[in-house]
Amino acid sequence: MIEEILNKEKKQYYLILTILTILMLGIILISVTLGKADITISESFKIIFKKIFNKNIEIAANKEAIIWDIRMPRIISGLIIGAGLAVAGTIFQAILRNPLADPYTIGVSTGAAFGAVLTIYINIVYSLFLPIVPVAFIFSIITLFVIVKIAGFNQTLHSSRLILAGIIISSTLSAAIGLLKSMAGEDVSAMIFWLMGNLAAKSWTQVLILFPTITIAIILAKHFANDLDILTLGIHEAKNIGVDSEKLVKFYLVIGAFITAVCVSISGIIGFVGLVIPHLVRMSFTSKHKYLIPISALVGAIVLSLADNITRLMFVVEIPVGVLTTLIGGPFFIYIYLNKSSGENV
Amino acid sequence: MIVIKDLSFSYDGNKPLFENLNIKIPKGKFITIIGPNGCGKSTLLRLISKELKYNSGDIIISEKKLSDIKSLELAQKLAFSRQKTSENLSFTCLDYVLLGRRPYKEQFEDFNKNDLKIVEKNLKITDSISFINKNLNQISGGEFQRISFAKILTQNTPLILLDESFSAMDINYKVLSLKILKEKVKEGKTILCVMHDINLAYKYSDHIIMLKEGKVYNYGKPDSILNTSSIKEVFEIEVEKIEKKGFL
Repeated sequence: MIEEILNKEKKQYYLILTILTILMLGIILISVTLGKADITISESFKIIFKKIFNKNIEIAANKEAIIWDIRMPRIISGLIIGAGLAVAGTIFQAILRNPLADPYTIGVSTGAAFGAVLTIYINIVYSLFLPIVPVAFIFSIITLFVIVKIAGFNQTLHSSRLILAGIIISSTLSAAIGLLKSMAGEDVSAMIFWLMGNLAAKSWTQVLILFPTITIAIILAKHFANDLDILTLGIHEAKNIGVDSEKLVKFYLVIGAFITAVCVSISGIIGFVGLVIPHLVRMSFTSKHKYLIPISALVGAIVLSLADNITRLMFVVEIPVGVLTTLIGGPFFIYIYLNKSSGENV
Repeated sequence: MIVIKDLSFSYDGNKPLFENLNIKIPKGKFITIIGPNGCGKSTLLRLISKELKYNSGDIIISEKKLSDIKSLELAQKLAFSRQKTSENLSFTCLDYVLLGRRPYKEQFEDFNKNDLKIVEKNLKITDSISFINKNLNQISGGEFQRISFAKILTQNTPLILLDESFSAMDINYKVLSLKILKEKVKEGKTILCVMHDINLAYKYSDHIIMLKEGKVYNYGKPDSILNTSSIKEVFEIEVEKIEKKGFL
């Protein structure tokens, strides 16, 4: 009887995984086709086919450039960042044992934002062209160390202490960002644009950074997923069944923070994907992390790339995708929450 | 089975709860700790389960010092059902009980047929099979205690620590659980249990430890140590003994 329940769950998981994968491939194909240039689906298919399998197919060079060099990296970046944020959110909700946690809760993202804004400021003032991404990344990693130091790495890492440290650092850095913004005067728009989070103008270079790092991090997270289940029960319960939770919390903290740091450095702060997607999957399917992580990753990828399509195609002026995800995600989440959670805690 | 030797413990900066506490807990017995609120019953279980660190003295489980026992090894020796369980992100009852098999699994090993058989058996004897698909936060306190009890049984350890593990169960399930535990004692397991119900303690325990302000007030067979004067001394309440039946 129990075996049947577990098997049924497993079958369901593979079914959902397959459907989502097909859906994602379809979205890639449609997304690269849609846009101002007049290209058909079969043409985009041919171009992708040609590039991936290195075949010789006659196709207009400008169309090829639009599909492969402009749209494709942006769409792939969106997919990876969506997946990364959703997985990071899942991890933080589990290790902080707080349903309100997301990739930005412990302030790593604010560190990245500060790094980026600082770089933009220096570039403006000294007319330099320092790259934003590495500085943002370095600052987010520094922030992680500071937060963990405050929370007490050598003692038991209590989730409340981590959250508190995160909030303190976040607000301090936010104030610093505010200061830089006010000092930037008329040039503030570049900073604001970065802070709002967007996927515009991504190239294959960014994909090359994103793909290996985020993929490895997600695979690692999935690998130890059974332990993540146990962490949600708290340190003591975990100990009672022989799991060294302190080490695990640290491991997952680093993985989650690393994913967040990479994503935020490249795309800015894209809200809500990391908060809503894990909840959505948890409420509608399962809370077992070995299933939750891959499915959240796929749903996150799909949702973010859909959102990016909307911002790219539906408005005269492109709006940042971060604004859209939060704008739609917020009310949507409230709707789901009110419908599903009557009488139960999420 | 468990030897507590000169144990001292205090919560950060507070005055010591235990000072030079000595208790010997024999193997294969059902032992109940009773005592007023705040006398250290739960703390004692948390110290034995290694959740709290003691200041001095020693706890020795099957001739091994607690500090020398790794957490996985301890999980195969000792199962602890705690009083307070934290709020969970949604965990189904079945998955929770399955965790009882976890100490016997390698990192990536999946549960096999035998594990599932053990889980199913324990869900049946605790009569909790009807709600295994529900989430832990959807069931009542009593139902949760039955699930938690099933998990402890699934862990199948020689030593079982229970902290108020039946407090929210109705009388039927309380008695059912205690009878299951009695069976386990016959198989050679040792039960160390904190209970507030003096009558159930009286009826089911082999030995009773009466704790008062961090000290063992009395330790022995229920008949010899539970009487109106000892209850008055420890709990500060007058009770009347109804011969062979219990206390009111």
